[in-house]
Amino acid sequence: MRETQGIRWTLACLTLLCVSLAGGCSFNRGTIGDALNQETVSAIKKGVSTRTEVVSALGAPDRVVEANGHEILQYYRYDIKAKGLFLLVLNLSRINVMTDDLYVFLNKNGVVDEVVFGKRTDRLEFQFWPFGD
Amino acid sequence: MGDKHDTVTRRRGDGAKPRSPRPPITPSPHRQFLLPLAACLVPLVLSGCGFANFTRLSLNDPIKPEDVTFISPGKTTLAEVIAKLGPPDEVIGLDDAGAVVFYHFLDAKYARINYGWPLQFVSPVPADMILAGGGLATDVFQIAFDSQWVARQQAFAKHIHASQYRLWPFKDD
Repeated sequence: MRETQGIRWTLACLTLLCVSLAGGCSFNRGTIGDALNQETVSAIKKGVSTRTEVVSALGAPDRVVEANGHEILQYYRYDIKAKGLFLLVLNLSRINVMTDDLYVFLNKNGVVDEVVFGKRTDRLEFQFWPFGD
Repeated sequence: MGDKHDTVTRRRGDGAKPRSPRPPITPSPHRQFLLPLAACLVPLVLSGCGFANFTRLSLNDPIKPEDVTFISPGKTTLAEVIAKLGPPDEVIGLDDAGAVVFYHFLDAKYARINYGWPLQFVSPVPADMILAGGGLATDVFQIAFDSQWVARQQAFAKHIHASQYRLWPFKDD
C-alpha cells in the first residue's frame, strides 16, 4: 500500500516537473503561390493541349523560359511549416520549406510537348528537433 | 524529356566545337530572395527566451554527391535526371543552344546560449552573457544540358558543410 502511494507521488512529481518545464510550443504555417493539384496537371495532354488551354487552366505562369527550342512555362509553390518547443531552459525549433514545381514544355506551334510535375510538399512535416539529418 | 531524348546517344564533344569561357550562371533573382527570407525567419523563431536556443531551417531535401553519381556527361538525359532527382527548381536557356537546370537546397543552423540566464535566480539585476553563432549553407546543384537535353556537365555551386551550430563564436573556421 505504502509502495503504491510512493509510485503515485513520484508520477505526480514527474508530471509536475514536465509541465513546469514545458513553457509552450508553437506551430506556424505559410505558403507562397497557389496549390498545384494533380487533377489539373493531368488534364494537360501532351501533343494536344495548347498554350491557351494551359494558361486558362493554371493561370499565368510564374516564369517563362526559352530553352532548346521549347517555350517552358514554370509554376511553383512554396510551403513552410515551423514548430517550436519552448522549455524553461531550452528552446528547440525547426522551419521546413519545400517547393512544388510544374514545367510545361511547349513546342514551336504552342502545343504541349512535355509536362514535368514534382510535388515535394506532401512530405513536409512539422518538426521541432533541430539535430541530425 | 520525352522518349525521343531517351534514345539520344550523342557523346560530349562529338562534332561540337570547343566552347568559349562564359560568365558564371547565377539563379534568377526570384529564387535568390529566399536567402534573406531565411535569414529573417531564424531570429523570428528565436524570439523565445531561456538558457539555450537551437534553431534550424531546411529548404528541400539536400542532394548529396553520391545521389548524382548516375549522371554521366554525354549519356544521361533530362528525363533520367528528373526520374531520380525530381523536377528542378529552375531552368535557364543558354544563348548558344542548351540549358542549365538548378536544384536548390539550404540548411541553416543557429545556436544561442545565454550564460547569464541562471543568474536571474540569485541576482536582483538581470545579466545577460550571450554567445551565439550558426551557419547558413546554401547549395545549388547545376546540370548543363546540350540542345538534345543530354547532360554535358554537372557541379555543386557551394558546399553544405557551412551549416553548423557554433557555440563558440570566436573560432576562425
